[in-house]
Amino acid sequence: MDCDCLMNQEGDSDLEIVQKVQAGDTDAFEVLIKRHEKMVFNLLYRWSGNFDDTVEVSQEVFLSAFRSIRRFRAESSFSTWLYRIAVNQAKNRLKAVSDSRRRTIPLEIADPDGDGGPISDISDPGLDPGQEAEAQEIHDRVHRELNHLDPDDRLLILLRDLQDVPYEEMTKILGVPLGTVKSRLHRARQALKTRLEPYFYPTKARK
Amino acid sequence: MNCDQVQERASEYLEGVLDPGDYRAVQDHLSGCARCHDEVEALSRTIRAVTNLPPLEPPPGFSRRVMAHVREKAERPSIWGRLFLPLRIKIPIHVVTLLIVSGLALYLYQANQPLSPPVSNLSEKMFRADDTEKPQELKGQAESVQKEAQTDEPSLRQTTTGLESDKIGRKEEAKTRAPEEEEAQLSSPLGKQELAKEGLAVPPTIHMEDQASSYELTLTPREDIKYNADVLNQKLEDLVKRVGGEYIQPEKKDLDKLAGRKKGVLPEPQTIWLIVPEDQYDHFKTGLASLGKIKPDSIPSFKEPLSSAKPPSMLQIKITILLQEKSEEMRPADQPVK
Repeated sequence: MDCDCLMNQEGDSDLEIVQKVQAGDTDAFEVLIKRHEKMVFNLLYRWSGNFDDTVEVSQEVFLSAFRSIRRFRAESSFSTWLYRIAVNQAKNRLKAVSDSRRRTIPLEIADPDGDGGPISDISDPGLDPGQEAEAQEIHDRVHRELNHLDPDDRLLILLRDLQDVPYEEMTKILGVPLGTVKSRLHRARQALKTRLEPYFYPTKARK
Repeated sequence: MNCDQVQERASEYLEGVLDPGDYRAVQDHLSGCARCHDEVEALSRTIRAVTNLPPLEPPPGFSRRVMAHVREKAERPSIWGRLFLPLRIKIPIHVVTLLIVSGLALYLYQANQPLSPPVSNLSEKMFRADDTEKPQELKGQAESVQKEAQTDEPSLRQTTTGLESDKIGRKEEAKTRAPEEEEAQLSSPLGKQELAKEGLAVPPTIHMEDQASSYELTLTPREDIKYNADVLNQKLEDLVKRVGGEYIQPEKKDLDKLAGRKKGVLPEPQTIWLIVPEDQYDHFKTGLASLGKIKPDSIPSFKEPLSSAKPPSMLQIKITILLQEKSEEMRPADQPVK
């Protein structure tokens, strides 16, 4: 497909593009990938904590979506449907790989040079070097503590606080009632808060 | 609102999703409770820390690589497509294949279907047993003939006149048969089990021109002739001769067995073989009924021979003589033995 066609489709809604793909326009699927790759990639990276795994699983998410796109009936938004695929793929991956290996990969080991990996390339132009270093340290700490949480707790926090997924969509993605989503999310946040408090309030922790 | 209630609602309070009443209540509590204030502040900072995590860019060329796989999958036909498309080519191939397979299956089924043994061959071989042979050998021969009759192998179904020469070979074949085949043979009405149970020698040779059917009857003799074997045998012989059939003399040991009943020896069933013309069977059975109770007592009807020029078919009849009536062991009807 040439670039002009892709450009023309970029104004279309997700549903319109899905319908084109369902009608046999395979190339239109690339627009959907470009629109949602970042969302999928970030969720999976923060969830798995492993960059290589994230690339592999993200690819499998889109391939799986393409395979089953004929069954997409627009009962939810395309992004919700894609999230659901991503969550299932990530959970399958978690089952396949031992949890112990996955959980014990600290950021320092995954990133032995200490340069923060792909995240370190992204810098906030409004921060001076000192502030930038401090912000990077906070991000590393949060990323590390997230990876020490239970995978289900981590997923809830990432969907709501990182990806800003509305509660209603979360119930569809996770397949649990709204009250359950809220109570579990609160519990997960409390768990993360407990882990981050010594870092946020070092003097309070010492007392 | 107390501290616990505030802590429970802290997340919703920070997200602004509490209803106005609860929101105000939490706010009022926080303004007067330093501990809850600090807790909610820490929770807020935690949420912000996650929200502020820098977004990660997928590796360059990610969508292009995924699309390469997608196109590969799209070009590869599905299982349905591989099996049935294009329909105009695949469907005739499937139909022809199905017909060939069905025909082959039918042929194999028919080829392996157990055939009814030709009774003339069976009876001929059974009856050809020489009187001079030892009873044990005769029994073995009868067994091998039975097995041969049951088998579906054409080579084994062929009747040969040189019974003596292939007798040993057939015994060997019988030994190597599959257990289920053995079982099937033992369930045969004229099978090994029955012959062995009776402990009788196979009747002497009778050559039959026509193919005969076999019937089994059980006779419980009248009281006055029950213990008189000679009279009973004589009456049976007379009856058979009267209808133009043949009476096969029981061996001496069978006569002794029958005679033993007089002495109070535990009686064993005696078996007598008769050959009766098919068209005289009704007369024969009526006459037999005058000698005692017979089972089954129904009399099958036979068609009259179509042409008088053709000699009537002969029926091979096996009569088991019992002192006590055993109705429960009777066959359901006097059906021809297949």
